[in-house]
Amino acid sequence: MLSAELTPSSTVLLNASYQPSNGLTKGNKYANTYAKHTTATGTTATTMTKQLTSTTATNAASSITQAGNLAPTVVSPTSGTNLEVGTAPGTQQQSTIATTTTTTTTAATTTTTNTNDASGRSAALERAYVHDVYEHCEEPTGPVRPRVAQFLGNLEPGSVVCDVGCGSGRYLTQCNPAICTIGVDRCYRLSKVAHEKGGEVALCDNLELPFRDDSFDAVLSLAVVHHFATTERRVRALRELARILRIGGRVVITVWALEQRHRRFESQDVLIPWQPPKNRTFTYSDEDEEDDFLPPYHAYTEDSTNSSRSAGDGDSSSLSSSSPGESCYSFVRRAIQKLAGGRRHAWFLDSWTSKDTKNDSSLDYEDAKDLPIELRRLEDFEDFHDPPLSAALKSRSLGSILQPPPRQIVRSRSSVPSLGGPLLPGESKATAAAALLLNAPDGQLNGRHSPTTTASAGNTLSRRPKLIKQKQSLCEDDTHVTAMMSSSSITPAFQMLSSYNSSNGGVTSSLYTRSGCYASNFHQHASSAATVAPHPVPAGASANLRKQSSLNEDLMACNRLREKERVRKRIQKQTSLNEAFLCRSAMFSKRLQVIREGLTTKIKSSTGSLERVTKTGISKLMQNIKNVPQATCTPLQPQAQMDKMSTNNNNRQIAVSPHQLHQHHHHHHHHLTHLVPSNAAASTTSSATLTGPVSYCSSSLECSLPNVCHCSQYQQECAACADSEQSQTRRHSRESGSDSSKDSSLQSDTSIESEDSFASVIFIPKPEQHQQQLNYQQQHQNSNSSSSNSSSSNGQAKMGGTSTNTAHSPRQPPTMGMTTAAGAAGTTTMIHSVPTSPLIMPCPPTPAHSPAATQGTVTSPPQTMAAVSAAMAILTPPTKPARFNFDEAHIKQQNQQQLQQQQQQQIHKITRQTIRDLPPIPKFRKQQSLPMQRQAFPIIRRASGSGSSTTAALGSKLLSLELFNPATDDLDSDSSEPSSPDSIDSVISAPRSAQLASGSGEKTTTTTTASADENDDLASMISRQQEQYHKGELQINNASIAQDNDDDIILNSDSAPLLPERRQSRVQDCADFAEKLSAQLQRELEDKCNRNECRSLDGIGDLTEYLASSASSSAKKRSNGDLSSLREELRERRLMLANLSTQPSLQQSPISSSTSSLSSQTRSFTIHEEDGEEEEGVEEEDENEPSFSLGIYEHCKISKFNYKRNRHYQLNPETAYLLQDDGDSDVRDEEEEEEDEVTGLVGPIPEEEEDAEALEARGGDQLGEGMLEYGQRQVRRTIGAIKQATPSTTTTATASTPTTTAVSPSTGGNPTQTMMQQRQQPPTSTDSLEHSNSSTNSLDSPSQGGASTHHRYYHVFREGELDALINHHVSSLHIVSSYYERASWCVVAEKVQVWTI
Amino acid sequence: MKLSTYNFLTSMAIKGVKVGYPLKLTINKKDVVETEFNPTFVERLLPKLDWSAVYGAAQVAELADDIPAVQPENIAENELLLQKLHHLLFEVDVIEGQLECPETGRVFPIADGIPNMLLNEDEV
Repeated sequence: MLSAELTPSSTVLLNASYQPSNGLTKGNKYANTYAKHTTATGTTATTMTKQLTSTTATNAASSITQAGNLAPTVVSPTSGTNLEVGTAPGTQQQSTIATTTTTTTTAATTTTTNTNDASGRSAALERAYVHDVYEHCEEPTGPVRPRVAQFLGNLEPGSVVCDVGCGSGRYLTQCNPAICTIGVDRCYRLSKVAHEKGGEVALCDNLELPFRDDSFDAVLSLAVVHHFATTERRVRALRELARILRIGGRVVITVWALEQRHRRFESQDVLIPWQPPKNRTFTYSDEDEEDDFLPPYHAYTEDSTNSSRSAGDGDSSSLSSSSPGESCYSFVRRAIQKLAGGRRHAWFLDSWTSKDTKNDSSLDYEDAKDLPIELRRLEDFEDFHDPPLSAALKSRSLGSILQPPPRQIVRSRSSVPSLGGPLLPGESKATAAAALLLNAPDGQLNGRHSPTTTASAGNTLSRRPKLIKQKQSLCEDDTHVTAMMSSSSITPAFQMLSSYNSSNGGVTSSLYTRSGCYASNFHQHASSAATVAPHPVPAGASANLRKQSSLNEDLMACNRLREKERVRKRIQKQTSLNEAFLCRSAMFSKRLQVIREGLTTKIKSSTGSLERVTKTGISKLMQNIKNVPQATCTPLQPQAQMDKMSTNNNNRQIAVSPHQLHQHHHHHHHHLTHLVPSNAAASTTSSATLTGPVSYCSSSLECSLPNVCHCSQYQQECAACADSEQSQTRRHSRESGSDSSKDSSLQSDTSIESEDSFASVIFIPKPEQHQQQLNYQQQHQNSNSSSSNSSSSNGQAKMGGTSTNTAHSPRQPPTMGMTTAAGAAGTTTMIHSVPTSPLIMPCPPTPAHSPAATQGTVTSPPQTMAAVSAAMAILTPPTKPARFNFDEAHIKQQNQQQLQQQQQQQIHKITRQTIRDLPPIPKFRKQQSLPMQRQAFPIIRRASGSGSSTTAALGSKLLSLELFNPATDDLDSDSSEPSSPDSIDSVISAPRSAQLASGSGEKTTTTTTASADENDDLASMISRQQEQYHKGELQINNASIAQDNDDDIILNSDSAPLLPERRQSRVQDCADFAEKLSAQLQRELEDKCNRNECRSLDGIGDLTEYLASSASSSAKKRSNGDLSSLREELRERRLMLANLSTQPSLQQSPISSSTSSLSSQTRSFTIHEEDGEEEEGVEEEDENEPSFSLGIYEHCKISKFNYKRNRHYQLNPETAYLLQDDGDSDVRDEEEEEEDEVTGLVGPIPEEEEDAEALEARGGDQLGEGMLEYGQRQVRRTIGAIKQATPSTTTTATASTPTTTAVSPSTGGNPTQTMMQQRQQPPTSTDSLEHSNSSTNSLDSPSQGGASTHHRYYHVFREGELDALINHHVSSLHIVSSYYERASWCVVAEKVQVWTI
Repeated sequence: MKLSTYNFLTSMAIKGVKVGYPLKLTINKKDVVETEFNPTFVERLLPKLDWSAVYGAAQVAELADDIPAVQPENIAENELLLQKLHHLLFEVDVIEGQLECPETGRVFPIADGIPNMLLNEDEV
């Protein structure tokens, strides 16, 4: 059961991730209404719960999926892949929840919906990374495969053969003159080549072959199927091949093999670099078949280093490309790889084709170029598409780049120890499912709630390591009954609370956590050999719970509240886990055992155990509390009196107590050394227990307490015993809380674990530490099965703790009439707090209740994040709230962690930025960049992760996009990071080259000088570039510097042997530009470079805006704080205003971006995206797209998606158009000035530029606008450099004006910007917009962009994978033979008549 | 595009098209390329061809006089016909023209001797 449920959930996740792409159009709307998103998420949550009850799971799933789609839509309307990545996390969570609740039916529905999106994405990916690449890249024709030639030669005369994917027509004419061959290909260029050779060619897609059924005697599919991005599409392609094949005909299918001698793939989905034809000297090559013959890597390596390499190896040539120009790219790649840790040395161990393998050293040279980009999450896509359930496994095993869900998977895989939270969704799901199952038997009502809880638990669990989950599952097994009892008992209480507060999910989560606590307790008991009685108790409790649950369900209203509750539940769960850890210690275990015993005794009417428990420190604390009087004994008595009710209450209390304990632990951990204060707070809180807000430490406790109180109250209402029960429950909870606090204080181990969990919750600035802590926790958990359970629960609880705290606040209000108002305040506070800082996020709920706020404050200061968080928080907050909204505790937790890390990094970055700002010296930048780069990536990633978490907010979408990629990178740090940098480098290299070409005259010299300086640290350069991308703001601040850096980088690359050629080409391009503005291609190249810069510039632009306000880069730093506050306010406003006008968001976004230079990049992106979305309403969709594309671009860089590149290309043309439209002179002047500045490396000049940029940024809040501007600027610069006609005297203001004008149309939302634009150049702006649109349209076709480096997408097949595909999905094909040849898996299959009875 | 290829082309991939065959051929520019005549090859190929489409192509190519409307019985023995078929199927190269779906009227252009049978995503 568990496994079955898990698979659907995983599939759902994948689907959700895919869905986002579909929702592109809708994304704008969603983005516009952040509040709406939250509500939507809440509604989805509610729907989820409802579905559980009413079996409308499918609807809920659809709704969820839609939500997911909406979020993703922001990312990539055109290229869904990018979007997918960003949106995936949130959607995944949602989907997971939905799946858990809805089960398979919903999953199926979601899958269907997802398939469309996925197909669209995959199609877009294929278009960008296969079709377009082949259209632009020429490869030398490789040798004919002997076995294929033999196959053709053995065909009878008159046979009709269709070569699907004929490429250059290698097999069309030569092999057998007595056969009729028809070649089809998607690539027009190759088709022409084949036709010129005399081949009979048609253009068509493998998925829609324009041939009659059963018409061919043989079909060739050589190196084609591996270009399909999903198994569904692969299967479709295979089926299409089988369709046109006559019965008895045979098809030869070859696909690239994962298992290759000299090449090692870490993922089955890879992007293989393919250099542009310009660089290459090779003749035309076959397209797909290249792979078959030779591994590109080898060939390339040989070519570059040793001439000995056989020309025949088309494959190698394709990848490696002989031209020296590639060296730049490869060089950058190398540097990136080195930075990443040089994973892929193995790639080029031997030259495949030559086998002569010339020199390994040569291979090393080529490594950078050849390094393939691995797509992590494509398989997930495939999985979705794939009917088979294996998707879950695949998804885990194979990371898809685009999909956010992969993060979790990746984390689980790669960095399970580090993050700890997101790992093992399957296991967690299983545990959740188990819990659900247990709950289900108890009662339908409970079952309903339980599913939600289980779902949430699953989410939380999934994040955590498998081991923990397994342990938990074991514990659950042991304590299923107990868990059921606890869950059931807890559920009613939560439900009560939730009913008022809203979300069932929250209630369920709380229940789940409670159940988890129970489970842990049971485990402990089991370990201690005590537990037995729980089973009898559950029955009565379950009955009560059912009633309560039903009531609660009725009450359930607000989705948000549910979400919050879910988060809280998660937190509680974590707390419960923490408690479990505590319990691990004999003392805790004993206490727990006592408690359990007390429960059992309660059932049995035995009070001794309860007394014991109460006697423990809890009793004292409880006494301190007003309610204490009942003390330890009282609970037992009332319980005895109440019998079932009491038992229920006790259960609830117990459940609550664990939560409290967990909370206490958390608090302690948060406080780290402040355990004592937390205890005191706990005691105080216990005194305040009724309200729940007691102490922040007890924030969760409070929540639980209020819940208990509510439950008790509810019970009272239902039954007369409520008072005693309540008091008991309260006492219990208090007691438990005290115990927990004591335990935490006493037990260092537990405290450590709790600290770890805290770190996650608290947003400890240092991610590594968190990871370590998490690892620690995990280890602890692993070490002790019971402890592990508890630890896992702790980790989850911790993760969810923050969220749960927020959730608690809402819950609390409902419980108490008083609390309701407080809850409202809490919710409001939550919103505010969330925007303010992620760190505070956990606290926000508490703020409503004073304790929570205290927690937030307390937590933040100790972390030292405060200062950083202030700036960072602003950026992060939006994402966090969104995350919270999503209810996805796991994601949130991860996000939080990421945010924390990001904040830390951001702090560092900020400092660096400041430094950079002060001295524009490239060296400093380099040095800084090097450290920064590494950090920057994680930060960005983290930020992106946080953004991803926030599904509701538009910004969240944007962020999510960015975040997702980074997150994936972080998760996949080793593999993904290197790959991503490579992609980035590649992208950057092109633009740089373009820039160089444009500014060849001036810039080249300058760059050369800079390069000479920078040549020392190529890696640093790369890192700089990365940093620039990631830290667009910083770069923006030092826009000129950034440009210089780019130039330097380029120069560095130029310094590499390959670069010179590019320079020449660039120079030529520049000349063309000078000659013809219409030389779009060149512009595109430049645009690419510009885009890269633009990204940074965009971020910078925002910053510049701020700077403009501050009038100096230094002011930027200052403004950052103000901006952060402003941003927070803006965010709050956004949150408050569900339907925010695009303008405010835009304004906010720029401000925020400007404020946090480093973090602002991600923020700015998110903001830009949001702005873009908002602007879309204003008819600036095109711009929005670019903005998206920019964001995507970044993501792509990270993810290395061709789509992103395509977008970039698109953007570039837009920029080019804009530039053209805009006064070229102005732009030129600006560019020249900038260039001059760059050359001079004068600090003030860059500032001016920045100011200009800031103005421009003002004009265009959207990133896309910023991008356009930057692109324009760059283009202008390049043009200016080329033309140099206009003196550099033109002021930045003039430059700014054109840029602003260009941006203005898109940024209609921003009044100031619009004003600026109108004032400056209203017509130009409109033109620019139109041009941008046109350019975007034109750009849509990736083919236009003449990227220096092309990547081809491959799905490398494992051994037997192709056979399995055919056997399982293409029933009409019977495999005759399967063999391995030339790095490819080859299958010869015969079409057989399929008789269906 | 040789007319032999035309014999296999269909527009059935278009959404809603059931048969999509034969496509309506329009020849704007054609070329004649001499190729080696292999009677066995043509003979064995004929069963795989749709004669009505062959005849239709012959009409469009203005070679209908050489091709009977109905496939003769003992075509293998009629080497002259085989030669004419060979000329029709393998020596007439359509350089410019178009193919039109008989059901939807969707036009597939033929440019540079290469028919573009690609469909838009919304057509599938």
